[in-house]
Amino acid sequence: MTLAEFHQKHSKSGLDSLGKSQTFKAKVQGFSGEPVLVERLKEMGLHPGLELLALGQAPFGGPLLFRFGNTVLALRQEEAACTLIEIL
Amino acid sequence: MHLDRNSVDHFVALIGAPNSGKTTLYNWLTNSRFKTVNYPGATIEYSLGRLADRYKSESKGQDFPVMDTPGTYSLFAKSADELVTLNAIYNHPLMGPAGKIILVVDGTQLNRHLLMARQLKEAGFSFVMAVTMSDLLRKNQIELDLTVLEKEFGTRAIAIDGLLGGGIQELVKAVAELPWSPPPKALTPWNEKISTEVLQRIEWLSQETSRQARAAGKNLSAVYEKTARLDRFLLHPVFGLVFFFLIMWGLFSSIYWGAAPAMDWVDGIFASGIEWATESNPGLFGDFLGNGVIASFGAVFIFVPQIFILFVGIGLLESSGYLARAATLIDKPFSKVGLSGRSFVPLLSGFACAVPAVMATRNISSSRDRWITNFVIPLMSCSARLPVYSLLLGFLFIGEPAWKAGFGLAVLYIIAALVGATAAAILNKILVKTETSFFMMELPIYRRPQLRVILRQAFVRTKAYVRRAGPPILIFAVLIWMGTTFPNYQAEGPERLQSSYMAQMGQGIEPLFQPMGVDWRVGVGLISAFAAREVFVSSMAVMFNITDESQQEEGLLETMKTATNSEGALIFTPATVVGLLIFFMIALQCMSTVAIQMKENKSKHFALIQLVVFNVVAYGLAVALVQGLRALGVA
Repeated sequence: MTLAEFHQKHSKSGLDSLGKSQTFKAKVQGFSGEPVLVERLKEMGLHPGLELLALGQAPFGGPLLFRFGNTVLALRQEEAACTLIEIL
Repeated sequence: MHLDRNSVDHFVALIGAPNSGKTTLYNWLTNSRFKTVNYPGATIEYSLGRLADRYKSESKGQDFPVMDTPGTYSLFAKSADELVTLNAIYNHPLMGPAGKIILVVDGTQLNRHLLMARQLKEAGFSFVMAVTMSDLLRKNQIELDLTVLEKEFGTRAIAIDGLLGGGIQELVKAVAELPWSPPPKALTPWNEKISTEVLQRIEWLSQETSRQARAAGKNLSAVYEKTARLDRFLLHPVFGLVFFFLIMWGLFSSIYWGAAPAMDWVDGIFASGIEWATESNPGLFGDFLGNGVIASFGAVFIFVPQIFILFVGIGLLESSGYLARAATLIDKPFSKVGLSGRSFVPLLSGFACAVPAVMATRNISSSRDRWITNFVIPLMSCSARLPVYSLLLGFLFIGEPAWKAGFGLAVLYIIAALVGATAAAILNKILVKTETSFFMMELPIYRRPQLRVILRQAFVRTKAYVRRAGPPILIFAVLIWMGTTFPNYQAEGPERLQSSYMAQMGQGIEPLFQPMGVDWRVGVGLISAFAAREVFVSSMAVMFNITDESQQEEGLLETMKTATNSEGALIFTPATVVGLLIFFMIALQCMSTVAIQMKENKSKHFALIQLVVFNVVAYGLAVALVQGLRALGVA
């Protein structure tokens, strides 16, 4: 499952889910897609084994929001789709 | 400060990720004395300053230029813009390679920011690490074990307090003791195996560094909880958008209305300057000095309040952490036309004035997005169009309730925005995509902005505007003065303009204006509007012999009702006035915009293409509309 799919599945309720976000946990397994995007995702701090929370989505079907450690990251759908995850 | 290679052997460069606290550190190091320069041949902007005198004892008297670079995540460039940043430290065309590097890492984001330390080491740069946010960490009783980092990278790592300047002296000392580095090696891209190893090592390092902090870690997460709570509101699909529009309305109001008193003040100063010059030197010289030279300087400085206020506003939004949220909130609609949420602030500013708006595009990180945004900015209905709209709408709805003209104005603004969106979509289709564009943005914690740093940045950028855009605006303004003054410069009153080169030119190209349904006098108004759009109203008054200045608009409206062309037909009819409105909406008739585009894009071609395209399209549409309306029976 990609990060984008994971997000779709778990945060339909938009940012309201932020409060309950602890339940939407995932673990990064790997990457696939355009090499440039993958490299930048790694530089932004994503790496296999990393656990992250889905926070919600910006209005109009905009970027998806994730949190890991002290970082909140906004990714467009196609960017999130480059990250493969396993649901915890 | 000289920039040629001979006078500068070595310089110290600051690099670091966006939001790492780089700019704040830079302000400390240079005591806020720096200027912004462009990378030769590119629109990438970086700051260049010298080490502040107060640190001279720590630097053992050494004096060196310090460069601040745009935030970057990696030494592997992902875009043309990032490549320029890297070139600036690898081998700057004027200054050579950076001799020493200060890597700025956020102490709360070690797991992400240490990647660049690894890359710098591999490339053979001589560097020290400045670990920022130590004020935040200390406030929450978290102590980082920086010796872990020092051992790993074989260099000093120093905690910096951006708020009070703690650690800066130690940092300068460490920089001074650092040897100047040999020419750096280009990095060979990491394969999957290496990159995984590096990422794991960095994760381990950041945990080791903050290990002792574990017990207190709960405190720091309170800071992030606060940000998360705010985000729950500020990124909310409904409240978030409401707040977004309130903030943007505030920013827009401050450049639209907030700047007005200061602009009136600037205007007043130059007006009395012109009066003094023309009265104390009667004749052509006084006229040249006043209406030529002093008025031209006025044309440059009139934009200073707006530019300064806009950059203070952007600085506040950026350093508080809100700008990243704003870009995220509005990203989707903009991505439909190939732009990103980062284009919002510049485009919004365009509704006040294109000149500061073009300067605000510097905050857009992708050069393609910046190009498209710059191109469509002049389509946003700027404030200089208002007097023209007011005159023309006043004519269309003469003697009718005021709300009709108000409604017409709203429609004009909406059409302008739609035309801008269409233009951006077209450009997005025809421009070749040379690189993958990405949005990927980290949302930093909310922090109290440091006003001193923001004011300084705004000041430096405003100064850069005067220096760069000033000269071309001056030249254009003097040319327009000459065109409207000669050859009949001794004539008094309206006669001078009516018999000027500009008027002759208007008469010469009258056939061009006929399809728009207007005569050469309106043509002269259109040409003279190139000085500034609102000049259209006053030149129309001159061309149509309205002498009572206090009743200019009313008098003009009366005259327009009955004005006829050489064949006795009415010039101003609903059809021609609508044509003029459309023309003003699209045409690029503003020398200051052309000048700033020339300077900001480092390209005369860009400004020239924009000038031709916008005016040809505006003309074509206006003609089509006038002829179409007439064919439909609208006079």
